[in-house]
Amino acid sequence: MSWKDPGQRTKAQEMPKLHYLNAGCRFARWRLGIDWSFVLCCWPFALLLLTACSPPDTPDSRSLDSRLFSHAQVIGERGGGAGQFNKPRSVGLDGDDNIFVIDMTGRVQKFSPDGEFLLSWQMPETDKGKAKGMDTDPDGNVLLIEPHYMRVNHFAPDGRLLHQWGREGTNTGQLIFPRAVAVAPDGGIWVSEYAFAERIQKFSADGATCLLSIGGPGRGPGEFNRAEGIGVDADGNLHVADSCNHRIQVFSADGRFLRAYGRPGNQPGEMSYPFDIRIDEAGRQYVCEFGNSRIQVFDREDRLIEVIGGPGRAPGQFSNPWSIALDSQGNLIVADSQNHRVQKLWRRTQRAEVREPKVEDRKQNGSVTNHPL
Amino acid sequence: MNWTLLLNSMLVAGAAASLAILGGFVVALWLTGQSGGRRTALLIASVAAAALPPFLVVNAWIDLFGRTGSFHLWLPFELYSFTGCVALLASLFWPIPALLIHSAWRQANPELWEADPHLRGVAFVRQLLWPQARTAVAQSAGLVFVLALNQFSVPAILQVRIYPEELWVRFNTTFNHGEALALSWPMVIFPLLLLAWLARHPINWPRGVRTGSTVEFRRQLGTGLQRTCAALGGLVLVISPGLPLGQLLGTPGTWTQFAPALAAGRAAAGQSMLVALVPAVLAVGLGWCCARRRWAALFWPAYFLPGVLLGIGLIFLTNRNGLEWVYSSVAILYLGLTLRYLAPAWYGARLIRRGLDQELADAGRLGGATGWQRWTLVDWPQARPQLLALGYVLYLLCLWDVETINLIVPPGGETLALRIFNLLHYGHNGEVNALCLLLLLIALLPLAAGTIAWRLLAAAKGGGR
Repeated sequence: MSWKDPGQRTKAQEMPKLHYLNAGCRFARWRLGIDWSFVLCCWPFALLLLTACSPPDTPDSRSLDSRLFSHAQVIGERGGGAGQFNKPRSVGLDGDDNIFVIDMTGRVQKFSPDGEFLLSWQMPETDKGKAKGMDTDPDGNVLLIEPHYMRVNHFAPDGRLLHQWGREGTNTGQLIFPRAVAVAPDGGIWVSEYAFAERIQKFSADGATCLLSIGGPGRGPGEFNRAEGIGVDADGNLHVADSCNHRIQVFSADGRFLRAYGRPGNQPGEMSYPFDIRIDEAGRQYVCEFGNSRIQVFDREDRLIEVIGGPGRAPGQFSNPWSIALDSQGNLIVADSQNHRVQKLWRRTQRAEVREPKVEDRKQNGSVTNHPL
Repeated sequence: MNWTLLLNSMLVAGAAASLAILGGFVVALWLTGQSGGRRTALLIASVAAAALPPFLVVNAWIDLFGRTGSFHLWLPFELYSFTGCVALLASLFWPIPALLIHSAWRQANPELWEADPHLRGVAFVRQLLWPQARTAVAQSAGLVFVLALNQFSVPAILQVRIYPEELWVRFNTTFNHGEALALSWPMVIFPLLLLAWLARHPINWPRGVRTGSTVEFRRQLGTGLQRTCAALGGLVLVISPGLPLGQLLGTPGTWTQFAPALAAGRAAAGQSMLVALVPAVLAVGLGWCCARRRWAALFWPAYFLPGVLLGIGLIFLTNRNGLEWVYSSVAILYLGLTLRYLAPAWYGARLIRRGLDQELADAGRLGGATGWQRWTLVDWPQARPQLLALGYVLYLLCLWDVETINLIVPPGGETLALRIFNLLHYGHNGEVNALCLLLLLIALLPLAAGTIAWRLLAAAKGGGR
């Protein structure tokens, strides 16, 4: 520092401006104890003052480099208002492809297939924990799990509670921390459970009778280590996202172990905490990976078709996705949990160009604005 | 304002502080009477207990004392309760009073023990030791109370309703920064009161070792009390760090699931290392730069406040045009953790600076050495071991941190600590154990790297001769 050096001080005296600056610095240092170390520590705040105070903008939609999907549409943003989310955990659909989303606040929101907010309701009991795990029954009603209340709810598409069932316990037919639900073609309801039971049970359509129970804790074939999402294919086979074993297991409709695939890792075909799985009519399996923040698509022979996304905030990228759902048109809806939004991946066979202007229209109308986190 | 939750928080913190002081006092009695290797071993165990990440301890307790835990039949208390939360917090914080009280006794004049040779047992404790330890007890009570009051992760996992959770839930449901920050005043008041009080009663950290006093100390403590302290102190050490580490290393699932957890968590492991290393280096650097500046004490609230609150503040500050690059990248984690741990870094650097040879620094200054020259030739050679130790402590703090980064973690920024915290919400399993082991290995990595580097340097120097 120049003011410490007597020689330079003389030079500073020759230049009045520098002299005043030095004097100011010396005063600040002597009287207030402020110097460059103060500036070093306060740079974040200084940076703030130099920037504008408006929230940042990001696009709502982006085309995807995918064989199956044309583009990704972002639905919602972080927040507590209508059409906003806080860590959406599960997505589901009704018979009309309307999208249902449950988030970490225990609120269920309904959106049109285009992503327009329609209605919402709050789950009445959330003290012990929030609801997660959704599917649609053959009547188009929404099934929603409440893990901490050990029960399954059937909601009409307008949010009316139609039916509720489940008894707490570890015996067969009882529920202990149910996590996910999937409806079989025969109307039976598969429910996965974690923690104490590590099993999957199949119930009758009204939940009154337990038809089947499979699994148990472990790493072997047919055993689970936190089974998270489950999906049923057109043949009635059950696909299980065995999250902490980093694999997918497939069972026949009568609960027989058929096969398993996947191993831990982040390369294509490898998995890190698969949290959900859905199967389309062609037998393609869509695996939602929480750990790798991506969707992997496998064919009916368990061969990798493509990898969609990766960590990020742009449309088509994800941050710890929790859950997925496939609508009747083959569009994939993703609960992009840590980005506090839902994304809809539009199937390529549809006319993507027709859909995209709609997103812009909505943005202009201000009906849904999408900002990052 | 939820007064019930605030009262609940204060009850949890008060009970945890009382229990921690009880345990810490007993261990301090045992520790002060030891010398040589046994004392070093006890000190290492105490430091290890203090250094354990809270979620690792919670994970072990859930496995051992949870509803299906191995010890649940013997000790059928409900872990997911007020009692469980208090016991667990006390097991985390007992080293603070133990080390402070031990330090107070070590710094007392050895002649004091000899002043009245007939004073034995409980009378010795009551009339001589207690007056010496009173300030340390009060200091540690304040510290543990504030730390337990603002602890979020342990009560959250054990589903005990506390005030910081109310902040978190309110913010998460309404996303109203103003409301959340306004609600936080009780969380601010207690740290500020503590800081004001500590400014008037500074902590006396252990300096010299007076080995001559331990024999006299033991003699006056008496055999009976000495054995009681050893038994109770041993029990405290078994509870922490014994149980958590034993459970972690002794569970077969830890080892069978280690390789898959590593393969699936390589990115998170790398992220953890960076997220710990960068803020630690930044905090030590900044702390050293402003070690002589008293205003840096203004950063203490960032350390004592709930990390969740800091996260809310950072979201408010950085989620805007121009700062999006901070908000959406790991820069926000670096910023948050640096801010949170700047005060301990500054305080540590201040203590280190005090220990430096001032005459050498003055000679350098008078000789015309530049600031950089003084740093490389005078300060660094003297302060290197202490600064590295300080950096390592901060590295650990950042590595374990969940509360600060929970709300602000950007896409792809998930750390192992956060992953463990999230998985623990669904209870214990082998995967969590494996991840905890991985995290411990990452914690030990700088020590291993430092040892190897030191040996290589020593070998190179030896070869040079």
